[in-house]
Amino acid sequence: MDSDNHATIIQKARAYENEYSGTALPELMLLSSNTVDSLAPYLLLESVEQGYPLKPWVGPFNQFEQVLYDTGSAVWQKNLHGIWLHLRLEDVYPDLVEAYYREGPGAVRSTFDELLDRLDALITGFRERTSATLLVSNFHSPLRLSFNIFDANQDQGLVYLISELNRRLASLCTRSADTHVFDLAGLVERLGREAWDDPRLYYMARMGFSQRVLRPLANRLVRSFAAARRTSAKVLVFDLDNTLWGGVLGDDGIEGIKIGGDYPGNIFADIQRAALALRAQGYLLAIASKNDRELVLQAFQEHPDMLLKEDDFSSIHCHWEPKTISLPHIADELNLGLDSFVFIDDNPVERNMVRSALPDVRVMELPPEPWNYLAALLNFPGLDRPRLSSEDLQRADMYQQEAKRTRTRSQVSSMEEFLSGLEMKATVGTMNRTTEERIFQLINKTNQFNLTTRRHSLDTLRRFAQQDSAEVFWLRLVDRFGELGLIAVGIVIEEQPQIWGIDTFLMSCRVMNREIESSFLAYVTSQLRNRGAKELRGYYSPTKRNHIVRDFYSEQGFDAVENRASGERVFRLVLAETQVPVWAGFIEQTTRPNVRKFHA
Amino acid sequence: MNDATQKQVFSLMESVFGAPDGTVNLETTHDDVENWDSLNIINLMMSLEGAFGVSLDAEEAEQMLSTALVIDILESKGVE
Repeated sequence: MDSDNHATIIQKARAYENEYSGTALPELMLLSSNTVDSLAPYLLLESVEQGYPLKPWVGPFNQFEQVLYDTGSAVWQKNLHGIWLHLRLEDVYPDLVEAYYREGPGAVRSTFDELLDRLDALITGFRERTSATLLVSNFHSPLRLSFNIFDANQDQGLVYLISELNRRLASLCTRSADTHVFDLAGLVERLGREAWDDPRLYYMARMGFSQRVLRPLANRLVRSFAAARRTSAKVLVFDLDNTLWGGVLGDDGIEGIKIGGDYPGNIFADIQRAALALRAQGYLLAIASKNDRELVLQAFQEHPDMLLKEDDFSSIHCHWEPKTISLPHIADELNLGLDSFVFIDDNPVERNMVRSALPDVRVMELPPEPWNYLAALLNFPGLDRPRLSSEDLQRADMYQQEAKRTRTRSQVSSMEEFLSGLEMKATVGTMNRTTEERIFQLINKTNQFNLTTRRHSLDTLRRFAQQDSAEVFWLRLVDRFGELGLIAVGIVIEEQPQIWGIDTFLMSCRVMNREIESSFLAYVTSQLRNRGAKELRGYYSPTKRNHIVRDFYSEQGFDAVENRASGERVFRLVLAETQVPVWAGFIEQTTRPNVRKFHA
Repeated sequence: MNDATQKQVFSLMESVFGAPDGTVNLETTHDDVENWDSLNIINLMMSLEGAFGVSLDAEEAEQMLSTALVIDILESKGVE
């Protein structure tokens, strides 16, 4: 099988998982507005291959604030080294492109203000809770925008508004310690906007990217976390012949080496430009070359197209001794450890010698084609540096004090505030022709938040809806971000006079941790009470996937009355007692007028 | 489908579902395998597409509830 087949990656990741099962690996929490589960094995694999093994933990889908404010969550017991916050415009504002055409740039700007406030609150919240490195994805444009050939013709076009949003996100992150932009937009640009999306996977499984970008995405994420957590290299040690110029100086002479002008000199001119830029960023440059020192110095001085000069190098070792001797000498001169060295040489034999004799040195693997050297140099993980640390710390302190003084009204600091801010509106009712199809679908596909996992046929559901001794309830939800649809179903059956059993109680996972479940149960309870019920019985039948609702009825005030041999647990709620589930005040309730049974 | 391809499908499914080697066969259905869930059906779909150079649609993915059905779908795409 192909080594990069999806199944192979999953299998390799599982093998690493077993290999590291006894080790407390640093963990990486993924919080995303779309499904990222398939990315986890790629991250584990990439992290092991980059020498910084991390254990990915995929947080509940689209629940940023819920995870942050749930202080009891098991995630806060983990050894978290990193958190990836990934919000995608299409998920957060499904209507964005249309709203832009309908309401104009001003409306989109205020939507983005709101988004930045939300991110600000999340960053502040996570920063107070954990010292894990925070990476916040910036925003790529929605795919459907890229079909519009004239958007970029408007100076207030959506493309520009999104790049403005990204710039503001960058300054937001700069103000907070160990918080960085994850340049997702840059990666999308590199790989191509159209290649990024797989509409089929999005519509089927809410995956925000295609299978073919999983590997590069995981690579860049691990690189970003590793760069933020590990010290970067400080010294770049270059070979000369066929590395910083084309040809062999000793054979070809100063006039004969290739630097500047046309091919292949232009390749090496670009390498020298990149080296100068790295120097400007604070890296020290050095030379380890098997060459005549005088001739080398003369070449730097006399070759008209040479961009690098003798003074640009902190140390020059040109002689015929092995490079495994030059490198420790350079380290002594500069008073730096070999672990801060990167060695760049076109000759694989030299690279291997350094690798085996001096394992602390990071050896850059160069491709055989010189025109790919530049990409190898610029892509080298050891040179990733998110930003200067002292400046960073100062800014962070200032920001933290500022944040304590003023917290804007649009920021939320508690679960309650977050939930009320969602402006949830629920409609509840009983099953009829227009809702039966969706109810049937939910009953047959919901696995996690499903107390009994009874898969009823459509005929059975219709029978329940018609009987006086049974009822099928549902709940639809809308919040300020849009329509979530019919997301909860409850089926009750009168088992004995005035005693109703909850045959089915389920909810779509998309809306977990919003107190919908207790509100829906409160609605069902009140409906049954109106009908003269004295007692409710709840059942939990364990399956491989529904352990999250194991204690649901106890949490809702039911008493556990029986544990059956089958594993089923039975609970009871006596309705005369005062403690019954209550509808959460921050969810507005509308009741669809009951056409048929209850109030008849 | 020939035996070698069949074996490749089995081992691919074992990798995706994390099932021990040799446990997936022609009789296996989603009820026999703990991790045969909707997420792993997507993972299986991506794995089959990569391994056999086919393209599967959403309806086909939803039907992948037993080894026999998976093989039927692959055969209908000309995988031998």
